[in-house]
Amino acid sequence: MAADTPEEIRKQMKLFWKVGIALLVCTVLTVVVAWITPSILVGMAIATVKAGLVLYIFMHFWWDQRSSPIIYKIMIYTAFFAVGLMFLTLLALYDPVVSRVLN
Amino acid sequence: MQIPFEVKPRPDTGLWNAKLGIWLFLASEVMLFGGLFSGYIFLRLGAAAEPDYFWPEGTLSVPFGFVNTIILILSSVFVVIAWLNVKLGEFRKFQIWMGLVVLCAFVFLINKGFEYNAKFTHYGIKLSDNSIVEGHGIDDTIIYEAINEVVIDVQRFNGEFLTVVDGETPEFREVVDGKPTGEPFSLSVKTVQGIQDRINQGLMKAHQAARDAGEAKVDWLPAMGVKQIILASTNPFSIKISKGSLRKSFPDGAKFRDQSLLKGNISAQTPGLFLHAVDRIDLRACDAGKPEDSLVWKYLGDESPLADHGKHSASNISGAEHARTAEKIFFGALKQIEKEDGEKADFDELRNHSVKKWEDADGSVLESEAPILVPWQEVRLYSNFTPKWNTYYAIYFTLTGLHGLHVFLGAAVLFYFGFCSKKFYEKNPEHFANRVEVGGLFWHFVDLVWIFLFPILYLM
Repeated sequence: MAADTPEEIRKQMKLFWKVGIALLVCTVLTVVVAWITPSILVGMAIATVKAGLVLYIFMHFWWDQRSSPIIYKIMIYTAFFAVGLMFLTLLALYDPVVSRVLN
Repeated sequence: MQIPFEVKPRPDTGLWNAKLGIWLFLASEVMLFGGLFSGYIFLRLGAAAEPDYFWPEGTLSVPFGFVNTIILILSSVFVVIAWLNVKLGEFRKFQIWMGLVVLCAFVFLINKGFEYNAKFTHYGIKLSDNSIVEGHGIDDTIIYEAINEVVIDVQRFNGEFLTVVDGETPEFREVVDGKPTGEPFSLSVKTVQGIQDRINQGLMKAHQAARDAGEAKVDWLPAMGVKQIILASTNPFSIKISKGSLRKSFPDGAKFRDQSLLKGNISAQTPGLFLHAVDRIDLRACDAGKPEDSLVWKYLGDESPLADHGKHSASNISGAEHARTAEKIFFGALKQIEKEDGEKADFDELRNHSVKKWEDADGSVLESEAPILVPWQEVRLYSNFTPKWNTYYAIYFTLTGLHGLHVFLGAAVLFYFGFCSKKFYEKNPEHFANRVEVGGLFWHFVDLVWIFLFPILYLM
């Protein structure tokens, strides 16, 4: 990743602290929002933002995906399959074959 | 031999070895947790489609989950700071930050332990009309008395019931053609074996005779041997056991896990399942139309078996005292709901509410200690908050248990880097920094999973 000189590393340390604080704020926000309105969509949206911050900054995906597109490919394929399989279970709930027989 | 690309990236992939390895591993982890999250969605939507099955909501302590989330996020920050300190060549500082990460993991797991314990000691009872009552302090002791006959499965007998005999261990006589015969003997696995062998020898001889006469078509097989023997005790005896460790219990007998069936009556001392402190009732799936008609109301209220029983063996609460507490609880809970709504209680709320606290007539808030005694024949299911009680707990324990395991193992690896790897660092600091980075990547992934687990399990 990019930061290799001591100045750059110190700069990055500051960034990590800032992101850490942003994550804490998001956590408080999740609880407050759930308290006001228990909406799954909003909760998941905030969680996705947090996950994005962790992935892109803490796991330095932001820098690594440029120097090495292979990581990007691995994760895109994986996400595709994971989410795809999730929809497969949903398909089972609203089973088109069974519902056709029943109706 | 020097392994290539441990420190410098391989030109074609742009990655050094361990980094490619950890990303592939994390991809497999995404699939693992993705599958479990799918399982969660499937179970939850499936529960929503069932009219009489309610997904438990708000059963976990939000403050606990919140604190654990904060702890994991902080540990994630600490781990990157530790890594940057390695790159700066500050080993001592690296150790301090790594120590903090391990401490965070430790606190996280301790919290988890408290949370699990709360589930293991919280009980629910489903009554025969599908009303549900939850609370703490269960006593499922059941006493069978006047037992004079025992049916034993000779293959499976392990003598378990002899360990729970209340009083003197009885002696038994074999029952042949409905009558006790022979000398009394003390029962053990060995004596049962002896009786089995003796009977089987007789059967074998008879079979052989029939075979010789051409009446039996096949040779003797072990499966033709005796399956059950009936024993009569010389004196009636009683057993005292937790109902949970019985295979099945009937009003006139108890079946043990080794299939031994003891014929006797349930003692009046243990007429039912006792729950010391009720904290919630749920009548949403109840067959009765009105809350007042449900069995929970009946057994918490005036018709409680505790009221005429005097004292239950498990508690020191007298019947009259109990009736008063129950009355307070229901009027109190009812008043509370009325007060919050400003008008008459909402029917749905009345059907599913926590009865832990209520306000007394003079305005003082009291904690509930109302006990309930549910007669055995009205208990459909009872369990602590584990998968047996609800599929929610199945997926909850699977997800959080697996996550906890990741926390534990991740912390172990980071501890090793922090406190057992000084030589490695001195030999090749750059290589060591890469190792720490890989450990950190795993740790961030563990944090990432929790980021989704927290809202899903605690808030929704």
